[in-house]
Amino acid sequence: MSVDVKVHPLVIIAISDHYTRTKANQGKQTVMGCLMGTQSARTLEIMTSFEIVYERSGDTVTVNPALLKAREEQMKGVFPDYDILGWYTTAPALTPSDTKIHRDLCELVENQLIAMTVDCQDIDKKDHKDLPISVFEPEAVIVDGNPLLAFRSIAYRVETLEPERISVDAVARMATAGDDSVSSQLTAHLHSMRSAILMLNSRVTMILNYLQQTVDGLILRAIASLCHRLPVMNTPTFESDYLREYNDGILVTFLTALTNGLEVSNGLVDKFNLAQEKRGRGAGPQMAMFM
Amino acid sequence: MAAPGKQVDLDAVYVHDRAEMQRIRALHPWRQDPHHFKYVKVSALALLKMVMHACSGGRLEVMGILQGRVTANTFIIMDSFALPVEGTETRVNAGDQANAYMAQYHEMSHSLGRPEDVVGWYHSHPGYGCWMSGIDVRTQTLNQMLDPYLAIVVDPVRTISSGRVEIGAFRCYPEGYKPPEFVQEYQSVPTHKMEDFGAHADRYYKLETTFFKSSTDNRMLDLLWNKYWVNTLSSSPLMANRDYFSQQVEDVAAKLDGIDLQARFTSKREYNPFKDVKKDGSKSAMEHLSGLMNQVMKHSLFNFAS
Repeated sequence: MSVDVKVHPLVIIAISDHYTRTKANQGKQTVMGCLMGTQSARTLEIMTSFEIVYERSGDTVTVNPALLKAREEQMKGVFPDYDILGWYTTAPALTPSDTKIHRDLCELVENQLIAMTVDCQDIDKKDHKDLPISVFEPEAVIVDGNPLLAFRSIAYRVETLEPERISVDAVARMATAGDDSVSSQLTAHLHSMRSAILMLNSRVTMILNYLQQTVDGLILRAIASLCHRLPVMNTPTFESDYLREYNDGILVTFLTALTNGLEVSNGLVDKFNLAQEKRGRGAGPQMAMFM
Repeated sequence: MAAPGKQVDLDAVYVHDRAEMQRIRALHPWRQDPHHFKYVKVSALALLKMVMHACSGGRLEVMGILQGRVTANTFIIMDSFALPVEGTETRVNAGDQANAYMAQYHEMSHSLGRPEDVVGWYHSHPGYGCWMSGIDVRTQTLNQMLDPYLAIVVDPVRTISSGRVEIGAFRCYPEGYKPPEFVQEYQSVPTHKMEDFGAHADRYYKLETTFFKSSTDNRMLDLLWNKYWVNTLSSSPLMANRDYFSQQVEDVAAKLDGIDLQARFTSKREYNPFKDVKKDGSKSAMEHLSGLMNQVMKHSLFNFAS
């Protein structure tokens, strides 16, 4: 069974930043680093990363062990639950020389690691539909009676925390922080919902197109049975909870409207009192209105 | 923005120029004008790192360091890192241990290809907005001896509830300086923080914050959207923020009670005390509504399968 890998956007941006920075300052194309995160059973959650310094002479790459160890120590000072779970390179693919790096790193951190390639170099080619990221799990294969290290590609998922998602959204859309108007906030929220629904729509249309062209009854039947198994939340409990939530929302809006009304009428009363005060100064008891 | 040299290339900002930085440091224009810095540009990386760190703290305040540089009247924040500081629910304070850690970490960053200087610090205010408390003002005033130095505050809890990044960048005025025209920007702050919020508000000012990203980041983010639009659709702010919402309602109620008391027992009162409460109320109602929108949309999308 292979491991379940979850990658946070922070790591992807960190690697992209590392690549851009190195390219801009040193002109180097390939950078490497360590992936850190938490592990529970067979699930790896990659939370953060840091850079590795290495030297390349010909075909052999040597990692600076002292720097790596020291940085790991520092990261653990702040995030004690994080361990080094893998390493990344921005090369397009793993080469045979990478097996040596992998072995060296595993030995250094005394842990089984995964490898990740992030192909930043040809990301500008337009034909990419997916992130140019591949995750590999090491595997021992026997070739001619000798155990060899090979890499097997495994699936990964992008995992986000809620504030992380909002930040990624903000950066992707280049919104400026500090626009405090409340209505623009709601509009922005609805906009991101809209683009998500459009995305869903395009995916569903694609599936629909496929289904309309497929004549294989077996596949259609399998899909139909799968569709029947998809959960639809129309139990009475959901209905009542949903309604309660809905009513809460309406209530909050109503209360706010009341408060706004109070504010307006209070302003009116203040003005009224002021006008009365001037006119009736010294004559008779004052009529003061209080809210 | 008055940055020297036109930034045609998105990635030009990633080139580190030590000589230029030293030249600006030697000129130190910020000593003449207490209001010298006006803008902050935060890299995608620095922003995400700060937000993730703030999240990992939960209800506790966390703290870290900003790395970057300055050009003209702008701070450019390239990266940030966390400090091993035990925060409480109401404050963070860096001890000697944290200072040693900072020096060590920063030195190592140079060997790892991150040549930028330390230009500030950040900390989190989980749930009560981005502003500077008395302790923050004191820390920042002290830090500004080592100018250029910037303070950033992030609020992960409000980020979730409002659906946009709650971040504020601040600089303090020197001791004894009175800003010429001072208008306190209104923010909804919980009742128990109100005093601390108002007391130091004329000691600092807010800088305008924008974000930037590299061309590679740009492509990555585009492609990332293909993967995580599902998360946007499946997010449920109402669930994630249940506590926060009831807190907000209680807070508005408490403020209304305060006005009631004031009106009953004193004859003198300020002009229209409802003004601020109204803003608080509208804000939480709007946040609640956007959460509800999610539910309603999903309900009509998925639950009417025919």
